[in-house]
Amino acid sequence: MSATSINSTAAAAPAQQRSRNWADAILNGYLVLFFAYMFLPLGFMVAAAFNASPTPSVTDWQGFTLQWFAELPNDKRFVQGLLHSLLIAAGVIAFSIPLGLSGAFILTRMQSRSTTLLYTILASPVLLPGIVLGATTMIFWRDYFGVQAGLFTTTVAQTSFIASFCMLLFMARLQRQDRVLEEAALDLGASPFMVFRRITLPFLAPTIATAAVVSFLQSIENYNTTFFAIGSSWTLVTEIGSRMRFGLSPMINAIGVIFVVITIVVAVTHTLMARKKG
Amino acid sequence: MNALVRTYGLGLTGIFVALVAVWILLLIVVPQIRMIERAFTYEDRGGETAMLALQIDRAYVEKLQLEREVRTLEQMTDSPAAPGPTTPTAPSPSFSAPSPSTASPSAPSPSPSAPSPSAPSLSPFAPSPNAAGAQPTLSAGERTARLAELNQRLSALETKITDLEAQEDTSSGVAGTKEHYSLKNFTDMSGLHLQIFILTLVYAFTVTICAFFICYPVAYAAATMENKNTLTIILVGLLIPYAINELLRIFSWVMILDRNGILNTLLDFVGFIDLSAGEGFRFVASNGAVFAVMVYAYVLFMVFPIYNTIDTLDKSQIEAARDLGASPWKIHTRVVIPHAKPGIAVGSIMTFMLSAGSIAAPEIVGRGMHPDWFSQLIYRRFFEADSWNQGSAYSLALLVACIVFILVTMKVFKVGIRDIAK
Amino acid sequence: MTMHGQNVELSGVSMTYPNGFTAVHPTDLTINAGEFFSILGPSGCGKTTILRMISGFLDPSTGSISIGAQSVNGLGPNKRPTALIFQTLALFPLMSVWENVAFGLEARGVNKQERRRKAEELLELVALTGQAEKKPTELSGGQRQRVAVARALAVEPAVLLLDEPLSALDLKLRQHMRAELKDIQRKTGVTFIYITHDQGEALAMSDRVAVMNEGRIEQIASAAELYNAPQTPFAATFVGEQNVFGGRVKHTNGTTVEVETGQGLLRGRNFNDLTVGEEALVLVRPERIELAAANEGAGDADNNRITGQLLRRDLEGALINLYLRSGDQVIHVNLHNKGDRDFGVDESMTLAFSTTDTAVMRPGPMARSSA
Repeated sequence: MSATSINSTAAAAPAQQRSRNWADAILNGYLVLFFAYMFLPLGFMVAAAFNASPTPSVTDWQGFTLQWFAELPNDKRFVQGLLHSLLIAAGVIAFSIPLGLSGAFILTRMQSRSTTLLYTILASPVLLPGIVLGATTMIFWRDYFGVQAGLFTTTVAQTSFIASFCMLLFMARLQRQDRVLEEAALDLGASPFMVFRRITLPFLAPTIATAAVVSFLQSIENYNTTFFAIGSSWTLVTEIGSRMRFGLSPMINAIGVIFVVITIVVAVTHTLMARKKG
Repeated sequence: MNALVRTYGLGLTGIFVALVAVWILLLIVVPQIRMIERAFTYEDRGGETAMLALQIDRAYVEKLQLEREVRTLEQMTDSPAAPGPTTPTAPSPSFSAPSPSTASPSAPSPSPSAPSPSAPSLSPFAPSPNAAGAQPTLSAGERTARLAELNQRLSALETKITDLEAQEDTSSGVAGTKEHYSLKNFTDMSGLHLQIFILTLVYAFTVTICAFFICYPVAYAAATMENKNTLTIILVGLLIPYAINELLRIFSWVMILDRNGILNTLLDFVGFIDLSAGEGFRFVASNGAVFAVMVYAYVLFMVFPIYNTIDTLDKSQIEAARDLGASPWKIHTRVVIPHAKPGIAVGSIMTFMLSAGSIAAPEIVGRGMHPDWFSQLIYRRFFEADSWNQGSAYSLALLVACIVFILVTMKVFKVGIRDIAK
Repeated sequence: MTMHGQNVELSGVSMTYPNGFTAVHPTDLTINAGEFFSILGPSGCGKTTILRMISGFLDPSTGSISIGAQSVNGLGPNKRPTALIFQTLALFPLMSVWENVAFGLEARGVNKQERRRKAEELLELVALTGQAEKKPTELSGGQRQRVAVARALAVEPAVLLLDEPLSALDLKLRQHMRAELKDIQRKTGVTFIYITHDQGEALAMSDRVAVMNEGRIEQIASAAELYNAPQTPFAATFVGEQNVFGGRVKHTNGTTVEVETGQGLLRGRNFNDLTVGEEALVLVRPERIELAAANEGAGDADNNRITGQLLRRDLEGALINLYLRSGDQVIHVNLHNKGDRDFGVDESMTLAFSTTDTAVMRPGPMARSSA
């Protein structure tokens, strides 16, 4: 900032500085508005979770209560949905990480021109509408294998795009890898498997952890794809969705508060860790 | 490939290749091909097969009712003292997606799930009110007679069903399927549906434009922020709403826009309307509300890609441009935005795709009070009209629209696929 | 710690990449057991390709390689009795120093206690005792260098391949490490094959040096022979500096040849059996040229004489560099600074150099940096 004024001619500097200050003030004001826009609705939602009113509201305040939280564990469909969500997430992680790793290895190690096509195919699920992925998975498994839409098809449908996310994460990491390290290990007599275990995997370990967390969150939070692929079963999020569609209940706000808290914890942890590294 | 084998050996390389092959075939390509195949396969619903299916459905429904009645009677016979069948537990409010056809997996037939709209958690034999209450006055003799009659009708029905199913097998399987390749699934799209399709795309495009204008200043401010602590706070502030579940973001706006929501209460408070007199805007019943909520829900998918690209811009370029006397407008249009192109492209594609394909926003906002969005049409084709082929055709239309948008964006912003999916 | 070096033999080895580029033309090369052998050449000359073929990272397009009379064709790098020290050293950043050193032993299934003992022994050899637990990033450049050497020696290779390992170090350290590497080579008896583009390194350490250009070995000789009697224009100009004059052969007389050049008739040793009428290059090193009095030794058959005007003089301290214009050419002369005369610009001078210090060769590619 000061570098500019040094370079500027003496006469122009104060005027320029003044207009810069104005611009900064406008930008800061805009930021405040933007964050109000982002957080106020969420704030209302959180506040309503503690309101005794049986319909979620912040305007009609009937007293502070934790009743809606207390009711959550008794709601069998929520609990069951959570269980389904966790099962699916575990499956998605178990599928996505090996798939993403394999794709990343092949794409970063192959020199031929065909990689662009392969890359396009493997990365495309990230860019396509979730409902299409859900629908195609549902159709495919029923038509070809007689598998009805349910937890399995949901796991597969989610994997089809979460694996792409993982692949992109792994590729970014592998592109920064010093390939010579693997050559050095081979040269010292290591078997290919030992190279993989002692050199490549330790290098990828932080990314694998990140990919697992990302996969888990993506899976738990997914609605569009799951909505089509879940069939007659349900996950926590599709259950929340159906409750929202058929009437508002403060229990949803209570779940929302839990989600918000988890999200804040994860976001803050992530940022702190990133800062520590940087 | 050679490099891979050299480093990891044949075994590990083989595993990598096999996994990728499985991924491509089972998770991406073949499912898409199957959908396309279905989209171009026309199912003649007025035809013989469909009629048969309908008859079978009806027969099943009848059989179900008879069985229920039989059981009720038998129960009474077993324990005459009992006051009747125990009332089943009240159906819990379960509104999850109705089961998409539990029919035989081989043929895409619109069959037996149709008569069972009840939620899957309930017993499919939940007695209908008249089945439960009509009989208690019958005497034991009458009961036996009725039972015999019912059983007779049941067995007759079963024979009929077997017959019909055999017919269905021949008609749809060997003797000449009523399915054939055709464009009819697309050409049959009614004017209304076409209008919805186009409107959805227009809305999605507008959401994208809005998102860009809302986000660009934020991304720019964050990327040029010199105070590291403020930057961290801004990034966390962006990350939290970004990571919070889509449904909750939508829901928080439903609370605002609802008939008894915050906005109407506010209007009531300033005296513009009188809520207690039943006034109040039904914001949620309009497409505009869905649109507004979408902007809120997907706006952040624009921020991060743009932030990431502006962040890589050498800030001294901005200083240099300013020093050379460029106006703020010029600095943005000539220095910052050209550099941020890949980020803008990614953000646009993500925002457009999420908006065009969003089922959450239109389903939750207004709860069916506003006209359908295209994603809802797709859903209804699959699960309500039970026409998977038409559903496939509609999905394909959406898919193609998104691909076209991606290609056009890539062309306009002159970026390659590798710049986009990062 | 004595190990057993083995000889390396390349016969008809060539390398053509899939894109059609030939990095190495068919080459025969024998490197003796226990020898310190350098391959010297500019970047892109094919020296690294040769190294990678010996270590097993590349398969030759033609020909075969054997180490210690054992053919290694088709063997992967992990199955060859070679160890490679990479240009970037390639120390494993997540492992401690001793784990790095013992990695090759781990690959061979040696138990942990023995690995640790061997690692300590090697760290002692390279003067790194007490650094075993550190991470490579905590060491200085020279120390990392030594870890790389210890790691490569741990597997007791018959042949140690070094790919410009000193290029990342500063000049002082580089000179120190040269002596240290040479010392380690003598102590262990392992065959060293050293790749470099730095002639100083090659000349200082090697028993023999191969000069390579554009995929071909131009000359293999001892350091002294290479400097004093280069066989090709490239070898002559890549190693040390040369003044080069173009001309046509006028007369030959056994080992001596007379060439008509822009600077007059010059005589020199006939390296390539040139015959009368052929085009030829006359080469003489700057430090072999002396100043002569105007008429001194005129007509002497053992001496060449050239006159020129002084363009520039650069005093380096012990040495002084003169640049003279003679005809269309600039001649570089390198003298000891005896402090007994002044040099004025535009001064006319007579230069003399012995015919035995003058080489005459058939024209060919030359190193780009030649004077």
